[in-house]
Amino acid sequence: MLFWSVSVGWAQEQGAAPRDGGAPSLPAASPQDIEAGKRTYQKWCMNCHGEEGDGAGPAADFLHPRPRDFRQGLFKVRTTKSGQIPSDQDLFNVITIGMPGTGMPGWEHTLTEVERRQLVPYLKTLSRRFARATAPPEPLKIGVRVPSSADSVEQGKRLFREIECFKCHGDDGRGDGPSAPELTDDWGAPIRPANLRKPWTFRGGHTAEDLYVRLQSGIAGTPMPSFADSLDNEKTWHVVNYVMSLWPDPNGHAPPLQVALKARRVEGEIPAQPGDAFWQKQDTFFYPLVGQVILEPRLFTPSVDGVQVQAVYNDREVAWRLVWDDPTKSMPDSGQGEFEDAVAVEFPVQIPTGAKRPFFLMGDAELAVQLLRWGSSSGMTELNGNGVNKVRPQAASSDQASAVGEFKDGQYQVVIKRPLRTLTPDRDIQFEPGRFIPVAFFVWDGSKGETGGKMALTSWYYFFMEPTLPKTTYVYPAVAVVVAGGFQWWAIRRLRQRKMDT
Amino acid sequence: MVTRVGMIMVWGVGCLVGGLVVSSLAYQGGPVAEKGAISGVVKLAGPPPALKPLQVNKDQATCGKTQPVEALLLGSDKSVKNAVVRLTNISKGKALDTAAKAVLDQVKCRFVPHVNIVPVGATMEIKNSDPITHNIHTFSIDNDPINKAQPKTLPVISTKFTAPEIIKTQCDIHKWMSTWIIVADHPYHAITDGKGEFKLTDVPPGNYQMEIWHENLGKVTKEVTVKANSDTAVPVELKK
Repeated sequence: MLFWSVSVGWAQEQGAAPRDGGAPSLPAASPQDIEAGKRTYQKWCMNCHGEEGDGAGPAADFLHPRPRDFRQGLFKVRTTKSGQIPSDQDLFNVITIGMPGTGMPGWEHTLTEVERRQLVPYLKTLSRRFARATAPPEPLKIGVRVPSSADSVEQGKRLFREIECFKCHGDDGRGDGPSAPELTDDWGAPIRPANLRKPWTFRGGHTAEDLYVRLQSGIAGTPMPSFADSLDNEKTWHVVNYVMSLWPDPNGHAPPLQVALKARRVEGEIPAQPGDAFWQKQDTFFYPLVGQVILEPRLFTPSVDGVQVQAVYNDREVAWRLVWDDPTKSMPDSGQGEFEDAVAVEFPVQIPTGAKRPFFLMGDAELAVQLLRWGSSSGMTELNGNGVNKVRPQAASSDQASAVGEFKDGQYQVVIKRPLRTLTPDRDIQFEPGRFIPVAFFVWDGSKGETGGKMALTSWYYFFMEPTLPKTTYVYPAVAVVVAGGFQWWAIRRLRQRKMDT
Repeated sequence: MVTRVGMIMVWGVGCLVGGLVVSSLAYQGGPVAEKGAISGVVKLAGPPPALKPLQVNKDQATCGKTQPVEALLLGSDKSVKNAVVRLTNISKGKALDTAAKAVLDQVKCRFVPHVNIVPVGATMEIKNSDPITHNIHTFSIDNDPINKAQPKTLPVISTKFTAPEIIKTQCDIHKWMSTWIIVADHPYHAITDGKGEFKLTDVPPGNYQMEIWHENLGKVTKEVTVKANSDTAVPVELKK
């Protein structure tokens, strides 16, 4: 048991081992186990999952997806056949590992193995589906793996269209398919199909075996069906291989966080179009976004969870390319309370010299910020803020930033440009290479009602424009080497001559 | 003092009670000597509620641009179609036909029929007559829930149900598509037709409770007495 749970922990780190139901089943539960499980549940689980397991604990309203209502006996992450209850091992795994992308943490380091094991029989008392089962559920057989290859990925891509995965998951897999906006879970709450390009958010993990099992078994309580009747073993692996080919990192890890967004110095014109091949050559930085929960209206469940940023500068201007996944292109004129989609890059107006910075949520009374904002309807705006309720657009005449934005297949790509220096330093930040300039990002998904202070954001990171080395950096050492070398040659020659003379 | 006679009496009474309880739970099908019938018409009382039109916003080449709203189908005299009429407390009657095959089809992005009665243990064949993928998603607790994808390459899915239940079923890809599966543990179930009429035949004489359920109008219970060789007429009114 200990070795197994250690290896699961390792697997969680490496993303390598599958959570299959083949592990030995848990020892049979006694009434004392159920009672102990109930006490653990009441201490740790009740606040989300509710006293009776109805998923309506006090924390539930702040979570999306909502905590599971156990009464229906429907569990998303199983290794058993479609329509069947999960195995004891499946329940134990979810408690231990948690569910990425949701509010369900892994309890491996908080609860002992015994405590986690005791929760399983207690959970089973919460739904009559378990009492109704006369036999243990049938585990799925994972067939012989078809390794990934160009051919397999191509077949998977064809199957993706043939069985119509794109209807929900989108043509590019970003969860922006035509059926996606109306999807609801078994409780009638809106639910989003997975963004297949963000495997670190997959609820059941992202090993190849995890994907295989999800396809064969479906995800209970959600619209994701089982494809066991329409995909045989080989075809399932082809689809798995195709999905894995969409990932930024083959191991499925989230991009690493770098505190400093570095901008390279380039020569010549910086392309304004986000689709220009120039941007493929620039380093990419990834910033996770969280909801604004400081000031009302607070947003605990933001729509966008991360933004990719690239930055370059030349002798005249700085440019940032921002890319984020948004499954819905907001149409503010639709008259349904929709706002535009938008992104903003925030800087302090004055580059701080000491530790004090403006409040990252759009500035404070003492220190102002500048926001370079692009909106899907309004285009480029420059604003100044002394607090989230004191944000004012600059007069049009002093706007010098420009932007080009595009939406395609569930993704926005925007390039914002601004001159390095302007004539109004009282409201525009003056960019200087070689300084660590605080930077923060905001993203609004207008179709989810995100506008004004209701958005996803980051706190301060740093923006660093890499200074170019002056040519003298190379000249002086070369001169020093020549002079020093020359002097040594002359000195040794003189010494030798003197020696020969004597 | 516990005597042997006392023990035998306790055991005997216990078995009798247990047997009665068990026999009252399970329906027993067999030959019916004296037969009566129940028939009637289900009508809507009060003004018809407004119904939202269905949004047919994808795959219009197959699904068309509009779909009929089947949540409430009324005849010109406010008769209600697709109401499910069943006896709820019958324990003995004609045999349940588990060999019958129920067929549920998906045609031009519509489930046909809109309400199905399927006996416990009988096979239901779910067909996809459309050239696009649908999924069959049932919402049930007493029966294993089904959520299976049905691409055009998979024309038939066969399934069975194990417990009486009213099961809502829908396609998630095409949100307007829905149907109801009524799993029956005895044969005295009927669906009202276009004129709101139903008939339950071969009912053994006795007093019964009859439940009339409709997806939009809710349910109503009626006490019915059935006499041999006669048809008991029961008018039913459902109100929103």
